[in-house]
Amino acid sequence: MPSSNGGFMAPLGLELIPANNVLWYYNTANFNDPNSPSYWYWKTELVIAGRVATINRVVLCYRDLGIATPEFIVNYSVSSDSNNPNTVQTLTTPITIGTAAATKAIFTLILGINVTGTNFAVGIFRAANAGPVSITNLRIQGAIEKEF
Amino acid sequence: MAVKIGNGTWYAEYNDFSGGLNVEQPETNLPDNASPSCNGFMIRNNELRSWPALTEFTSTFLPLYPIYGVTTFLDANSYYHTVIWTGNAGSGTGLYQYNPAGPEWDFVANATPGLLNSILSYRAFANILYYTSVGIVGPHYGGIGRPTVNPFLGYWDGIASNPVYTQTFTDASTSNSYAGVDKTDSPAIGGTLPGGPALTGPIAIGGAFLGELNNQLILANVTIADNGNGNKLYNFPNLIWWSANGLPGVWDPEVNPSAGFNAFLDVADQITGLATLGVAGYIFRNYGITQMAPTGSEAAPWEFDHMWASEHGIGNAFPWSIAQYGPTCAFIAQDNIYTLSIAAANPIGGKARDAIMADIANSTATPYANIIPQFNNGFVYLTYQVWIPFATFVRQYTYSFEDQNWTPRDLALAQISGAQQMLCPGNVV
Repeated sequence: MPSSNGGFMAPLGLELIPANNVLWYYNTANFNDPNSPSYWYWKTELVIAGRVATINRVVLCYRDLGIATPEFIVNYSVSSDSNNPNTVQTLTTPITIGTAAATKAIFTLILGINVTGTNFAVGIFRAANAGPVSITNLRIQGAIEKEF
Repeated sequence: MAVKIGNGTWYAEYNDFSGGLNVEQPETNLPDNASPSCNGFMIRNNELRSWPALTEFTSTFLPLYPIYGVTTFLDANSYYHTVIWTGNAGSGTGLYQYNPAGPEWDFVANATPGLLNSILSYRAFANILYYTSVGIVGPHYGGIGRPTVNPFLGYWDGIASNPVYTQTFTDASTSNSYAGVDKTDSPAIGGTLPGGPALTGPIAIGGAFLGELNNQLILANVTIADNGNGNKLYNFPNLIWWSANGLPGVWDPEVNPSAGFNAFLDVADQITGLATLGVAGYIFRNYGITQMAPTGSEAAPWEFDHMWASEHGIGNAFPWSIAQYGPTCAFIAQDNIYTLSIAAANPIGGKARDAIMADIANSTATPYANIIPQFNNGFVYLTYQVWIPFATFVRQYTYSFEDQNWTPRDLALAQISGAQQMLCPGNVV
């Protein structure tokens, strides 16, 4: 039998995405995309409907894949009294996580913030090329009115 | 519920992200593991992790032409070939293969009888890679009509220096497709096609989709060119044409009665894909699915049953959204995203369906999709990935079969000079 015209002995096993006359692949050794951002918002927490609450501590557990500088975001509602329309406010807190050694270990960041309002929508935003982010656990905690 | 209330204090804890995107409930009423708005995070193994970097694969010697398909096949010498087809390479379409020694892309040869201007459908059969293409009308091409094409079937065995995309018959006539009918038989064949066109012959046969079942290649959504009459085109959007059993070069039922064709004239739409599950094949239309089962008969090798033939119904509404991995077939219908099993079509759009459908409606071109078992060796993530092009980026929705969730991710891939940035789906090679 004639020999093959090129070829190789094992398939690449790689996902290739053709776009713009270029073939792209996902580099699973690098979770820091230089061109695309990432964000995730959790569900909006009423805590107890109609009661004003605060968030004063955030506990973020993450896997150390390298240094990253995402932002922790809280969108929340405030109103001057219970009959007025709410206004939405945002608290953005830059954070730094991870180490240059990228140990792959799970670390914990404790962040102190001070937000008072209702309808808390917390999120994490990673700008393009802001480092690899891998969250395993998030805890938010604070105080709430005892009486309505 | 994530929230726990104490004596004047409260906390909420989240360590499950497996709900993925959920846009079909108020943000306050979502499950704790879902997100009302997310992008660029994957939730493989239940970690909320930024996606891997989209990185350029080697482009050495790759021409700056559109890519219409990428796949890998094994030749008869047990060598793998990773190949791409590009448009406008010389006089036709270029077939390139990956050379890891470079690494680089090596030009094999022109691969089609004319310029390629539409996505290919390909299929390896008996260690030979067959491929076909005809331009068809997708939902985003409305108004410009069915493009003029050179319908063809070609093949490359990984051994010869050139692909083959013509065939010379015993009467010395030559069709501009490996699937064809000789000049002698063409008038008779024309008389049995829908509309009974008067053909001079030889004719070249091509399809928008290529499949294989019962050792027979199957072309679907067929266009033929009457090579003996100025390459006059005849479109048969609801017709399938199959080769003779075990003879992928014989498509003329006058030569071998196990070759033949069938037009589904009783349906109002066009064929938009093929899949094979178990012993049966499934012919997808915009709004329906037809099952084809081998009969064992040479003269009538298939039994066809419409799963439904209503004006509207579950079908593959977007021609290039259909994908198959083993026993799983996924596709996008008008009302949801589905997987098809032998028993039934199962909706998988979940609580992300409305976001996906809204993006498809607002996109700049038809979506492409594929089932991806792994990103690379050692990074397994069985997902159905849907790429939806916009002018300045491509939004990739990823469905995890394991966790049954959807996550979106925007790829920073813009159109260049208004040209569509994606012309075929990704693939594991």
